[in-house]
Amino acid sequence: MHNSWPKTNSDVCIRCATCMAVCPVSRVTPLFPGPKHAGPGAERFRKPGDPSVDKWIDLCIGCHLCDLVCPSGVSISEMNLIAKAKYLDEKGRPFRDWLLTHSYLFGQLGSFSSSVLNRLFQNGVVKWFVESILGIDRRRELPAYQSSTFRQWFKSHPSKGQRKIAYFYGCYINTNEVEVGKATVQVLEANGFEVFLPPQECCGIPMLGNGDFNGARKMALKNVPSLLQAIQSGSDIIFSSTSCGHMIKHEYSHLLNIPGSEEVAKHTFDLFEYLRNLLESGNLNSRFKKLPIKAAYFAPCHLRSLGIGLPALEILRLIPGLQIDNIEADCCGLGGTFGFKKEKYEISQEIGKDLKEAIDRLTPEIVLTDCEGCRMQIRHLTGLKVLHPIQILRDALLQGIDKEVGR
Amino acid sequence: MKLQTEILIIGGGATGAGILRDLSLRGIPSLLIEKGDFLSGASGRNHGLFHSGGRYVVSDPEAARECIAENRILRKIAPHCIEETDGFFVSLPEDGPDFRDRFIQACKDANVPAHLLSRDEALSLEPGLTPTLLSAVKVPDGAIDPFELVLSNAKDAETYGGKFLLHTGVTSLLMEENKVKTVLAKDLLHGEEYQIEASHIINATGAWADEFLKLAGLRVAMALSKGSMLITNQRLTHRVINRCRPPSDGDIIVPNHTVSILGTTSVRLEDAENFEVTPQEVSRLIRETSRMIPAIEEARFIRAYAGIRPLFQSEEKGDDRAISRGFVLIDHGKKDGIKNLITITGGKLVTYRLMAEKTSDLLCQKMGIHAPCSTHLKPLPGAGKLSGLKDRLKTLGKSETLCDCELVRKEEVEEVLKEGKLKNLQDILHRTRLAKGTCQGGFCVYRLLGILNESGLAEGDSNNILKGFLEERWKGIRPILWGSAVKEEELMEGIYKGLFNL
Ligand SMILES: Cc1cc2nc3c(=O)[nH]c(=O)nc-3n(C[C@H](O)[C@H](O)[C@H](O)COP(=O)(O)OP(=O)(O)OC[C@H]3O[C@@H](n4cnc5c(N)ncnc54)[C@H](O)[C@@H]3O)c2cc1C
Ligand code: SF4
Ligand code: SF4
Repeated sequence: MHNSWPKTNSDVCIRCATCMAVCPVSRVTPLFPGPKHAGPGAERFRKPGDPSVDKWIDLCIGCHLCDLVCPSGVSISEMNLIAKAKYLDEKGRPFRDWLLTHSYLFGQLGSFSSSVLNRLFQNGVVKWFVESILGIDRRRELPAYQSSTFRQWFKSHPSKGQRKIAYFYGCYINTNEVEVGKATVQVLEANGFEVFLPPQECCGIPMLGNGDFNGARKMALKNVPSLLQAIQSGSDIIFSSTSCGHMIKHEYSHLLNIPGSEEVAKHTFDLFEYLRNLLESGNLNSRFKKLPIKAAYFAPCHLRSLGIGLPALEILRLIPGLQIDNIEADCCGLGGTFGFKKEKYEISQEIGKDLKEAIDRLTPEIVLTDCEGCRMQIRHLTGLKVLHPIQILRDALLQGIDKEVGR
Repeated sequence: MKLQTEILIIGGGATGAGILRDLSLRGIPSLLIEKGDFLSGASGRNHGLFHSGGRYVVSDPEAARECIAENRILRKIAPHCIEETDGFFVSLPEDGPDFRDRFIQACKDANVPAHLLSRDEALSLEPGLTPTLLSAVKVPDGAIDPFELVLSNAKDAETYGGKFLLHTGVTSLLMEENKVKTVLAKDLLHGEEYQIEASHIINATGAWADEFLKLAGLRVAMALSKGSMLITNQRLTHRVINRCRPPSDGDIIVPNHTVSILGTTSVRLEDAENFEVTPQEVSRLIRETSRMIPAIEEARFIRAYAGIRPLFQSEEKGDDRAISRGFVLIDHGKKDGIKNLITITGGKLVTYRLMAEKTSDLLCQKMGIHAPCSTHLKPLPGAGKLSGLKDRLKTLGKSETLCDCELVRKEEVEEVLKEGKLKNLQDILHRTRLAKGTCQGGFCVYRLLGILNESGLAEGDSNNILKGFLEERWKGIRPILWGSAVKEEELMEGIYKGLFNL
């Protein structure tokens, strides 16, 4: 019985409003009523046959911050997502949303297209088209595609080590931040691992974030068997993108009920969580060189929601000379594809304001964060150089490696 | 103060309010007095089932016929008070098909539309039903909002010249040979006393009928039966769910706005004033209803409450041919020689209009006037009000909400206050859905008091009003205090004891 009545049920909400204090969206716009009302509150008014009237549900950014603070364990964001899916199913999704959630397809076009795409994205006429026809805000820089994908690099990179480990790199690393993938592989190899890439598709979080459960499920159904196979061959799985990781570890089982996903979740780890385990068992290669840099670290929402603390910060603090501060701010405001949408750009920017101010106060030379969305947004907000923490760890660990760090 | 009226109606439940409207539409000057607010009796404490008649087809076909006829009329004249959900009569393996087959035949005989659904059909419409069910019979049951119903009746009556005095109870009757000469009544909040003269008096005091008659030295053979109900935090089903077996405890689940109401029990009582829901009743209701909807075992409850129904000895029923067995209409002129007194009691919320019609017909006959009934034709005011859940959800974020759980807007409450005549907090709570949700007013009633204070409408000390409210609230919560409700109450205790220092 307990299983058929999951805790997403609004029955356990005690109306305390604790969640209202943390929601980044309701903090900046009166259009969104906030987690207590949008989630367990509105749930009492939803009837299966009724058309959705909660237009504002589309504004929930899916940051999970409300879930984290709720004293009763209500899965508010999940409730919102389900309502959002229903709303969008009825209202229909713009082509723009399809484009944003299927950007992995561009990646499949291969490196040939990158220069064409990049140039296109810079073009004024294209920008106009992108904004007025597609509804993607022109103030957003569209992510640049790199000339060679991570997979291509990896193919020509002989990996060797005593233990095998599977790497779920995610679309963005493959086509837009190849350097993060390289750094991950290099650090793992420096710790004696042989990295391999199990066959994988987009994790599906962009679709899920847009309430497209079917699209997300399609991806999950491809990934889970392949990841299971890697696990059965005796290796663990690590991810460097906290969003992909959160999707695989939580949503595959909790929301999408993908068979085998619980098993996958058990063996899948955040990259830095994994490194911290190595540290705790005395197996981390920590022969770091001095890195005299002033950096600031931002913990992405999805990382916080994994409930593993801030492993990247713990590891980075081992690097001599590296001055690193934790940025005290709630959410970057990008929310995956949310901040690209014309109608949501202002909200996204307004949410990010706190983060920008917090960064300004710390005056870092670079900012580090585990999520590609956060990196994009922080670059956009501050103009600073923003890297994945693994890139700094790599630099501290390995001398003489090519230094074409990030962008 | 001396008052004079043609007709005096005692009791502001559905029956009394229905009569006031009926007479006012017939142009007969009438005054209603009620010792509390409208709906202080059974009308405000029932199951809210908009009967199709299904529940009575086997045991009392005549009552069933009345129900289905009124069901059809009310759908037309009071659409804003009714949610047309349909109802299922669910057969479980232990019930077997025999009663079901009798039930379907009886529905046919009583003219209650009934459709047999297979297990799979029933489950696809109501996935919360137990998968072990045999079948379900669909009937045109629904949910009725008694507050909306009674208040719309009162409002329309007022438009046609009907008058009422609330919080005014009858204290004694001055008799003169063969009639009631003067009715003495008292404003129970402010102490004002009234001597009321009327040519006819209608006793519509429901379960208090006998107590009232005692004031005239008369009796009616009736017993009192308590029925208890539990309210869940959310709707469990979107149709009324009945058990397909002879009526007994814990066999109905009625959706009502955001919640479901489970009921009911039947316990003999001595007195109509002091009663509460017992732990045994709570366990019994949950045990029985969860056989149909297993999730009830895990569901959160937000309140328990009880109402009292009058029960009649058989000679009382049917001793007048005009009286249906569903309700009791007594002409005390014929029965006891008190020629200006009528008692109307029993029946159902769903048959309130019919009861009012029959009472008014009898009165007209006694008065020798010809004024036909029109309540079956003339719609009640307020049909355009917000009623559906989705309409309410639509308002979220549009303006300041006072009650977060039920999405009652500040404007809505101010509207009610503007209409005036409200004497205490409970009156306001009767007229909105404020405090009827998850936290049971824990977070909104103090906000409401703020508004009352600002507008100078709060009579008396706010702290005392709040204390009174909390005591009432506690009565409803104590019987269901487990699980999330305990957590909620701890929070409330923190707020009221810690922050407000009450
Ligand atoms: C537990 C339960 C469940 C029920 N479920 C349903 C259902 O689902 N569907 C349905 O159709 N019906 C249902 N009923 C029946 C329905 O509630 C009643 O038939 C109906 O409300 C009776 O209305 P009434 O006006 O006759 O009596 P009441 O509503 O009881 O009104 C009598 C009024 O008289 C007032 N009064 C008493 N004495 C005095 C006095 N001396 N001076 C002034 N005023 C006085 C009282 O304060 C009270 O307000 C249920 C009843 C109960 C008890
Ligand atoms: S998931 Fe984030 S944006 Fe959505 S309601 Fe919760 S806190 Fe607000
Ligand atoms: S924090 Fe949890 S319990 Fe409190 S109002 Fe929000 S959802 Fe309800």
